[in-house]
Amino acid sequence: MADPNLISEAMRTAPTLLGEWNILVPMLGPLVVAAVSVMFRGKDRIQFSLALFGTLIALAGSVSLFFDVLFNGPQSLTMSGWIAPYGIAFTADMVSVIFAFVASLITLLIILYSPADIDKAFVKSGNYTMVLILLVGIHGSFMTGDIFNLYVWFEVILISSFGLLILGGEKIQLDGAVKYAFINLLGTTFFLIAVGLLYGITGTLNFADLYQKVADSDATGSLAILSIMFLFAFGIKSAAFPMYFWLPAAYHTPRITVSAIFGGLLTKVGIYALIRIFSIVFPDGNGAAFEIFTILGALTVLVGGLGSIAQVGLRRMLAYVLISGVGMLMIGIGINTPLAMLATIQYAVHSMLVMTGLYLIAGVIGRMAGSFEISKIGGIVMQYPFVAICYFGLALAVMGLPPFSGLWPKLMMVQAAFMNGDHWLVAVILVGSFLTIGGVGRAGIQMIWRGGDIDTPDGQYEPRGRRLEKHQLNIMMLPIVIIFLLTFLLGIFPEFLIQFANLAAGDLFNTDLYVKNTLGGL
Amino acid sequence: MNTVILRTIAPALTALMILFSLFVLLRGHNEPGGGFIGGLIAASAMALFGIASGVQAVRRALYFHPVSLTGFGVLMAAASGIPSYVNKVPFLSGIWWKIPLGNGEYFDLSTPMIFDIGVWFVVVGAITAITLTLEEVE
Amino acid sequence: MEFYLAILVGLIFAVSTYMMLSRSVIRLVLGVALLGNAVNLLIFTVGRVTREIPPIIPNGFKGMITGIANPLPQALILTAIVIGFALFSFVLVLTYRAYESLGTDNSEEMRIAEPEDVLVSELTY
Repeated sequence: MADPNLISEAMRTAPTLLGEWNILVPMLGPLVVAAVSVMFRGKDRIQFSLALFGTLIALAGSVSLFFDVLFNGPQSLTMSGWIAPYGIAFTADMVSVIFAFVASLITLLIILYSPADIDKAFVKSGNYTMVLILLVGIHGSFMTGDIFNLYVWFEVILISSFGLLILGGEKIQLDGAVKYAFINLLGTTFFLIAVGLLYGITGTLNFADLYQKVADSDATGSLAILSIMFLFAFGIKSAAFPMYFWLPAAYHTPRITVSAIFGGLLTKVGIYALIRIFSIVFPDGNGAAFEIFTILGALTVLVGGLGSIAQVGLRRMLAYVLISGVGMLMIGIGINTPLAMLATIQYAVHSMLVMTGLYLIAGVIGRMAGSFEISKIGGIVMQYPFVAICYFGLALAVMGLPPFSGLWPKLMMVQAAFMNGDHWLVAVILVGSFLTIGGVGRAGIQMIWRGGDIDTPDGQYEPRGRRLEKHQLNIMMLPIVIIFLLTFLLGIFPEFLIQFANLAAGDLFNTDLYVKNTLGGL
Repeated sequence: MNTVILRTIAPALTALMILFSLFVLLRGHNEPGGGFIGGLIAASAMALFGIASGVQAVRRALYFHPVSLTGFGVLMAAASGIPSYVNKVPFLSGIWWKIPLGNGEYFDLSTPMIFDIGVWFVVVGAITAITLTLEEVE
Repeated sequence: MEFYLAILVGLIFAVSTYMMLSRSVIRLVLGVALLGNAVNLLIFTVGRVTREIPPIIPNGFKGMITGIANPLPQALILTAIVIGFALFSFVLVLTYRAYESLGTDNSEEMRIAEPEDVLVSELTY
C-alpha cells in the first residue's frame, strides 16, 4: 500500500482555522450528550440534566455561530478536508443560523417543561435522548451543504420522531404512528428518488456545485419535473395541501411535549428545505414551481383555517392552525421576492415560537380539565386567570393581530403579494387569518369564558379534573411565559428580527456568497 | 428452533462468528472489510445465539444493554474527530500515528480505525437491539 | 445496460405502488420495502453502469486513474440501505404492535386517532 498521507495530501484543503469548527457545535454537542445519555438509560435524574446540558451546548453553539455569520458572512467546513464538491460540506448562512437558534431555544423550553409532563417510565424509555437526537437532525438539516446529507439528516429526524411518537404505546398512538410513519417514509423515499435523478443529470450533490451545474444544464424538462418532485417530497414533510392528512392524524396522539416539539420544529424543517432547494438549486423555479407553490400555499391556508373551525379537539384544532401557517410560508416562498422571503423567514420564526407555546398551553389546559375535548373544558378564567391571559396572547399572535409577532410578517406578506400583482393571494391570506380567528377564538371563548363544560349555564363555575399543584404549574408556565414575552417583544420591536431576516433574505438572493464559501474561495 | 443440534452448536458458532467479525473489522484498516460489515457479522452471531438459547441468554451474555453499546459507539466515532481539532484540519480528517513496536516494526494507529471501531459498536448495538426486540415479539 | 435497468426500476416501482394501494397494512410494509430497493437500483443506474476498474488508487499513484467505476452511487446506496433497513424494521415492529393492539390490519378500520365524523353541533354548540 502507498503511504496514505501521500494520497490525502492531494485532496486536502488549507489548514483549518479552529473558529470554523463552530458550525459543528450545534450538531456534535447534542449528539455526544445523546450518546452519553443512552449509556445512562434507566437513570432518570441524570437524563434530565444531560438533556438540559446538551441543549444548552447547542444553544450556545448556535448563538456563537449566529454572530460568526453576522460579522463574517456564511461559514463553511468540509468534512475530513476533501475539496468541497467531493467532501461533505456544511455551510451556514443567515437563514440556517436563524432557524438553528430558534430551534435550540424551543428545544430548551420544551425540556424545561418536560418534568411536568413526562413520567419516569418515559424518561427511562429514552424520551430525552430522542429529543436530543431530534435536535441533532434538525441542526444537521439546517447546516448541511449537501443534498444527500440533507436526506440523511431527514432520516435522523424521522427515526427519532418515530420513537417519540410511540413512547407510551397506547392504542391511539400506535394508530397515529402508523399513518405518520408510512406517509413520512414515503416522503423521504420520494426525496431520495429526486436526489438520485438529480445526481444522474448533474453528477453532483453539493448545493453550491448544483447551483452552477443546474444553471448550465440543458436538461430543462427533466429538471422541471425534478423540481416538482422535490416540492412533493418536502410538501409531505411540511404538511402542505394535498399531502397534509397525516399531520392531524398523528400530532394529537403523543405526549404534549412531543406534540409541541413536532408542531414547532418538524414542519419548519420541511419549509427550510424548500427554501434552501428553491433558492440555490432551482433559483428560477425551473418551470412552474413557484406558481404551484402559491396555489398549494393558498389551498393549505384555506384548508387549515376551515379545519381549525371544524375540530372539536383542542390539539387537533391546533394541528390545523399549524397547517394554515405552513400554507402562509408556502405562499411566501411562491411569491419569491426579497420582501416575501423576509416575511417568510420572520413568519417561520414566529410560527415556531407560537405553535410551540400554543401546544404547551394546551397541555396545561388539558391537564387541568382532564380532557382535550373543547366541549369538556371550561372555567379557566375563574380557575387560573393567568393561564387564560397567556392563551389569549398566544391566540392573538397566531391570528396575526397586534400587539404580537404575527402581525408584521402577515403585513409584509400582503404587501409583497400586492407588489407582485397577486391580488387573489391577498384575499387568501386575509380570509385564512380570519378563519384562524374563528378556530382559535371559538376554542378560547368556550374554554375560557364558559363556566364549566358544555351544559353548564353561564356564570356558574364548576372546576373539572384535578387542580394542578403549585410547583408543577410553575414548571409548566415558565416556558409559556417566556414564549409569550418573546412574541410580545417581537410584536412591539419587530425591527429587531426584521434586520436579521432581511440579511437572511439577502443571502437567499445572493447565492454567490454561499457558493464561494462552500467551494473553497476562502 | 429448539433442536439439540442448534443448541449445541450455537455457542461455538457464535464465538467463532464474533472472532471473525473482529478479524473483518481490523482487516478493514487497509483492505476490504470494516466496522459496518464486521458489526453485521457480530450482530448475526447474537441473533443466532438468541434463536438457539433465547433472548434472555443473549442479554445476559452481552452484559451491557445493546442500546448502550450503540451510545458508546457513537461516542467513540465522534471522539475520533477530536484529534483533527488539535492538528488544525477539518473534522474527521484521517490522522495516522506510527507506534513503534520495539522490534523495528511500526503499528499504524489512525483515527479512521477508531471511527471504524465506533461504527462496529453502533452496528452491533443497533442491530442486536432490533433483532432481540423482534425475537421477543414472537 | 442502463436501458434495461431503467425498465426494471420502473417495473419495481409499479409493483410497489400497487402494493401500497392496498388497504392491508402488511402489504403496505412490503410495498415500502420494495420502493426502497427500487430507489437503490435507480441510484445505481443513474451513476452509469461501467465494467471497469474498482475505484482504488493503485500503489505508487497520487490520484485516481481514468476508467474507474463510479464509487459515489455505491456509497449512497450503502447509506440508503442501512437507513432503509433501520426504518423498515421499525415499521415492521410498529405494524405488528398496531395489529396486536388494534386487532386489525385494515387501514380503513384504523380509526382510533381519527374517529368517525361526529356532529359538531351535538358536541360543542
